[in-house]
Amino acid sequence: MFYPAKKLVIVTEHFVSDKVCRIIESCNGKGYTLVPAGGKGMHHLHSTSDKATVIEGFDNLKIEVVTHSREVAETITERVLEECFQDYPGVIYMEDVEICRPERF
Amino acid sequence: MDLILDFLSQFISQLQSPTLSFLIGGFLVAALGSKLTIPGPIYQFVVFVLLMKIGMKGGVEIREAELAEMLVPAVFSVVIGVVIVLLGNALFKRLPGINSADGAATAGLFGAVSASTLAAAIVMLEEQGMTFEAWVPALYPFMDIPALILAIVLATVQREKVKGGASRKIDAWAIVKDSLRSSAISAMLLGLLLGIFARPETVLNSFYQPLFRGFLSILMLVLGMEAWSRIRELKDVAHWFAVYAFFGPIVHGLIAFGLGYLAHLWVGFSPGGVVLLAVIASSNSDISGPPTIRAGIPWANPSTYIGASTSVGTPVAIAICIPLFIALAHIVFPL
Repeated sequence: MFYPAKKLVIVTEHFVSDKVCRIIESCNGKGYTLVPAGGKGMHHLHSTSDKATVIEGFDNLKIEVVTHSREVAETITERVLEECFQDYPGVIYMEDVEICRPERF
Repeated sequence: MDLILDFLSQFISQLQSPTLSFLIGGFLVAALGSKLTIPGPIYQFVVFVLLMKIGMKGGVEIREAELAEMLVPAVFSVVIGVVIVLLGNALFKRLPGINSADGAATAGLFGAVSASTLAAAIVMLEEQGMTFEAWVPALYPFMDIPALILAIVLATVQREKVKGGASRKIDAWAIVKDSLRSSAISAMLLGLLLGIFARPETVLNSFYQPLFRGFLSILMLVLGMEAWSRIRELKDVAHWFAVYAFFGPIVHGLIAFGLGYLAHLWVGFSPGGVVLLAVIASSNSDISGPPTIRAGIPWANPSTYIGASTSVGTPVAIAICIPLFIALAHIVFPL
């Protein structure tokens, strides 16, 4: 019922998320999940609460892509590092996952 | 001496006004570590109602206004936006330990305009019984957009000078579109169009107008809390940003007051309009400017320009500049 796959996780700023999603699609990623993210990293604390902030668009997102191919995950990573993370902060990691309905990935 | 006494009495009375007292209240609540929060969607709704009302009221009155009168103040608004950015950028270049991109980004935000400061100034002018042309708030994008574009151009040119190599094309039209589509400006422009082309008086008078002051007090509370929470970010960057954020709004407002006074002499620009123009100039963008700057100058450190603007610049523009320019108007214009 479950099949092995790779999950690539990209945590970055909202500003660059559209570009990351375009890269995923152009690298044959068949879809992605966007989750609001917060926490602390090299730069500063990113709030996770729903309290009002005056400034728009500075929230962070976690973008998850599940794929069969390690190659697709690596191409996406290379392009995101090259095209987005020169200027914007971000975190990328990969996990082994098991999926059902493999034809969807 | 008169100016100082007048300013002090204005200042003390303004401290008790809902606008300033809520701002200070928000600051204190956050400083004391209170868990009080205003949810994000409520804040966005409050901004929408305020800007919609400002736009609609302007639109309704523009129908009968002589638009040619707007030309000189509109040109001055562009000039002020550009001058503030050029001055700020030149100043930061001369200060030690400042990254030129951070300087250009900060100057850009201070040239741009704050919707919340504008709303606060409108209420304070109404409380003083000072009238102004209804189209004055519509000067906002005339100052805001050129300032943001110029800051991004300056930062990009400076970066290319250092790095050399391929030049990065700046899509000015994309910046204009981004600014006009930002929540604050699009709410105001929508209100403006509804005011000019539709007949929204009933909803304006029964809904937006009565809510305006109450909603502004919530906005001020949020601004106060945000100002405190951003101070920590400012502590980590060069202190020059805090110094600039304190004195910049006053100097920028005085430049605009001077130009507004010229417009008063040439085309009869009202004293209330001069004060509002000065406040627009002294304000620094807090809602829509930072994302535009972040997208246009991603290599600048956001803690510098956001810390300078929200934790020092905006409180100074609201608490010091508005009473200062109202007091100045009382002295300069025989009211």
